[in-house]
Amino acid sequence: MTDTLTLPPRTGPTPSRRPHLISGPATGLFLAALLAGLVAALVVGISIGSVNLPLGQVWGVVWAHLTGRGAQADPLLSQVVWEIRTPRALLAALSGAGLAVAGVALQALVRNPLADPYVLGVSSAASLGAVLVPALGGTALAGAFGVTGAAFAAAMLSALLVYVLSQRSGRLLDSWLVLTGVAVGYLCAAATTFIQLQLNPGELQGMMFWLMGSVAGASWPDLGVPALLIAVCVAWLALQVRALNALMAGEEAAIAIGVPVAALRIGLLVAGSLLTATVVSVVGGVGFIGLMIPHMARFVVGADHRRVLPVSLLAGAVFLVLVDLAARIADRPNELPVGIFTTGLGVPFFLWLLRRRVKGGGDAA
Amino acid sequence: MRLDLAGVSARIDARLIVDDVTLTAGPGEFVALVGPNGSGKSTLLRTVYRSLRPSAGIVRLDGRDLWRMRPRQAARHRAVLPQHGQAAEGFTAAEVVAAGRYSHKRSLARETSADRAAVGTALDRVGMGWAADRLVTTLSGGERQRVLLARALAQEAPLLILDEPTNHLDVGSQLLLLDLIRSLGLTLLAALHDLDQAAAYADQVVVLRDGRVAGHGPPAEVLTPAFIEEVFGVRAHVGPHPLTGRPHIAVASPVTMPDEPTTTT
Repeated sequence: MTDTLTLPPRTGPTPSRRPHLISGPATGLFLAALLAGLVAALVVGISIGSVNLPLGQVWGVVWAHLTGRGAQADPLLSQVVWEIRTPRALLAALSGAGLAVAGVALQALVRNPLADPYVLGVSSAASLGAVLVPALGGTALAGAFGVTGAAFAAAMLSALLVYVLSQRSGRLLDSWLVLTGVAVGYLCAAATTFIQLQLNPGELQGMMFWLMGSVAGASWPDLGVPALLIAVCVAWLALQVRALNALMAGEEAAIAIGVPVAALRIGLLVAGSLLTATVVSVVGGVGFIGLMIPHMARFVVGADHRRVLPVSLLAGAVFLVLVDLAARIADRPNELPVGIFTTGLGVPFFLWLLRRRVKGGGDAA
Repeated sequence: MRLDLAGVSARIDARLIVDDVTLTAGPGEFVALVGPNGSGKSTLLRTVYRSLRPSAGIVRLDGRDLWRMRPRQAARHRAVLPQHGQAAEGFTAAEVVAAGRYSHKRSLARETSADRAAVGTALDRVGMGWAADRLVTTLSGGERQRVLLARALAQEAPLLILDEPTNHLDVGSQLLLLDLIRSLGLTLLAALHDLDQAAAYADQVVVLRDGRVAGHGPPAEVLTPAFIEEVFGVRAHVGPHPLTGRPHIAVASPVTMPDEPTTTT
């Protein structure tokens, strides 16, 4: 046929407005600003602690170690900054980034913005795996896995269970996935509570703190494995951003567009579980980041994963560095678990953002 | 692009929904799939857009087995306008349509001017160019349907599958959409609810009943009053459309509606 028809345009009732708070070329600037914010948060986070250190000296020590030259005036100062505070701040950044990206992966997996590592039971399972190791004492099983390995194994096992139970005639049902995840999460939480009751009070104190989340006591060797695993997961997700966008339009639409949906969903489940288990096994249960940060990213830059992924990654890192800072200075010289702060600071801010968004546009994500 | 279904059967939970269906859509031909609710129309279409693997039979595009293609390769051959088109929150119309370019892209490739042109052309063609930067959640149901059609067009595939494309559209939009897809020169396979639209627009109709082909051929030959009554349980009048001269089908309930308006005393 020679002439193709064109439907007559329907003009909209209102003049066009910018669809997202930040779009187009401004996105690059926003990412640069987030990166600068992360560096600033890290430096501030390193300088403040039981003893406050001048920013200039902190920067001097970090610079000296990064470049391998410069005067190292005070060995004690150098040790506090480089051996204690820097790994702690970096672990907070890594954990925040990992949890935020886990949220992006899991929300795309179930196409439900309410999904996060907690909703799908992955966090609870990882915690159960982690408490099992001290509970089993020095048995061969516990020794072979270690806390990280046990948390990861439990997280993957629960994710697999949830995934299999949510299938119906070869299709993954989103609503079942959430319901099954919540149920498995409760089961793991109950088992964790039972194990805690078997421990003596001394062990319990440490375990409670750990279950609420903490980046205290981080050292350089603790950073390697999480950094590697998070880098691998983020790199894989970065290759899938277009497919994730297509998946948001529904399973059948994604198949029609050419996305290998089944393989993609298995990959998302593995990546989400791996990220969650990695973080939970190192810093314990830190809630809400996986749910909240991707939402905030979408509020600001829209739902396109080409922007949501990098923004979530950086915003999650900045957020947990700042939260760890707050946890250290709120009740000096005591430290509070960061889990209290992620939720305590996060929930009011999130609700405010949500209300504001609904009032402004009527299209809350 | 020629579409052949040969002896296709499909099961859901071991229940046979589509039973040994054979049909052909030649290049540029519009084949309408009609049948009562539950006759297997949507399930049959799922075997063509690769959401449900046939339990028996084969689906061929220009002689090649669709189910042996890689996902992206299949997507370059056939596009789909699904029945339950969902508008994901937080995406603009242009971003939704850009997803249709997936099969033409490598994972990390940047958007090229060809991609942007395809997106713009597709949006203009459905009359939605003005909405490129609007969030799809702010559009009306009919406008969203147009955006989803634009996404399928941006795929630039020679075969277009449509599952009840006129659902949720007002009557004017329904006819405009059918006029548009007919003008594209693509091979079309569409499940349609409205017998009158099937008769007016399709080159061939395939009538499904209980998962089997009850009749197929040009609308004027297949959709006779007796056959419509047998399959759909309604009385039917078939004749030229008073305005267009195309085949026209008027239907009436077999029991409750009287032939003439009557007055009661």
